[in-house]
Amino acid sequence: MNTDDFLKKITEIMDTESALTLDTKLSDVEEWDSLSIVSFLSFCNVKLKLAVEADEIKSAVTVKDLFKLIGKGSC
Amino acid sequence: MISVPNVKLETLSAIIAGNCVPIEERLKGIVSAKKITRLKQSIGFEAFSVADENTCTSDFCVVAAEKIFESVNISRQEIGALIFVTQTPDYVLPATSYILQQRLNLPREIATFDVGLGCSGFVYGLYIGASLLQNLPSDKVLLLCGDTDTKNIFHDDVNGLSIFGDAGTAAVISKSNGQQMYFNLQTFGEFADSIIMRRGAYRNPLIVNRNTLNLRENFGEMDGAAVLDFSIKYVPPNITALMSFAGVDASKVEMFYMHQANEMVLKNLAMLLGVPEEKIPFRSARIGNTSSASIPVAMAEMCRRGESVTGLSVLSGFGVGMSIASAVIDLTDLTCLEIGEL
Repeated sequence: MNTDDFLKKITEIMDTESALTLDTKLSDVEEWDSLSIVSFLSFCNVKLKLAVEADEIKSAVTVKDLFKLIGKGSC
Repeated sequence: MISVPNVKLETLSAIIAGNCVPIEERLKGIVSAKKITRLKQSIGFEAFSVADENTCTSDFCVVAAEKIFESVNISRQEIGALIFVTQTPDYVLPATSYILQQRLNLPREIATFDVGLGCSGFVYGLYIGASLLQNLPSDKVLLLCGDTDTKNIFHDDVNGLSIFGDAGTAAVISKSNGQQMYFNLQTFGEFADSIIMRRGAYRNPLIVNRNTLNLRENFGEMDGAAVLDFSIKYVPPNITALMSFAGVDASKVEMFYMHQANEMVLKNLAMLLGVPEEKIPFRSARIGNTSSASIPVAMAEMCRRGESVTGLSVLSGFGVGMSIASAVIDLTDLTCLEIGEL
């Protein structure tokens, strides 16, 4: 998944109107809440069949940290 | 894994609160309208069965059990054991099942006890009831299951308010030659913190006479991400192993009745099990996640909607403990009563 596809997907998961970049701080996005965390968790582990832990998602600071979690399965 | 011979689930009945409270009303003044829409879309609950302050789990169960005695040809004298599965009993002691024996006019010659389980409780109850029948002179066991978890939610706990509902159910498990139930029970005590109410029992007393901020500790806590993580990691292998133990192929299973955790969890489980979504029904959108009652609640709601609850079935309850209890059961002889209201 390239950066643009990922940004599109994470925007959809959060259902946010904020313009996200990899550097966006998650704490600045109103919709980055427990609901987005579980949606992202199921996206990673069920749709993409990765093994991402809930704690790894919770400790992410920026959008880029989330992108890295997706990358970890493929590289 | 366990197989229990010569038993069947004969009948079941479920009761919810008469007033189903819409999520908009439940979360009014706490979150934005947009957040409510997001919650409805991904978690799937639109309204909740909420018990009023005078109604306990046992009250729902009494109505559910009386409905069985009224509608099905089962006599109270045939019942040899009463099991009440709940985490929301009437009193600290005695066990609520004793109050229930009296309220339901059940005979004295009966074994009676409470079981403290939540989401896995109904399937555990089936296992305990079916096992008791192996060594009981009577032909039937009455299993009462339910919870009023809305009473455990702090007033601004969005997660709790947007998930939990209240219900009580009754089921009769009977001796039946040639029929078999299969179970896979698993225990994950290392995740006990994921769903917990820390105060009010004997480790930590309830906080009284302090400011409301501290009072939060008196209520339930749930780590939603940890629970989802647990569900998708451990539930599919539990069910797959059970089906292979029972010699059942997923394509032969009529329906998978799962604990109605929420719609997102059930969709994920369908995908992971490789089962079409319509075979893992989510039928609690107007009721909420009713903990130990949720599987019979979903079945009784399906009956109300005219959907059939029959045939070779997989049941799976998973959650607080953390605990998983799954069963392979033939429901062909089941009399499922339509869901009722109190």
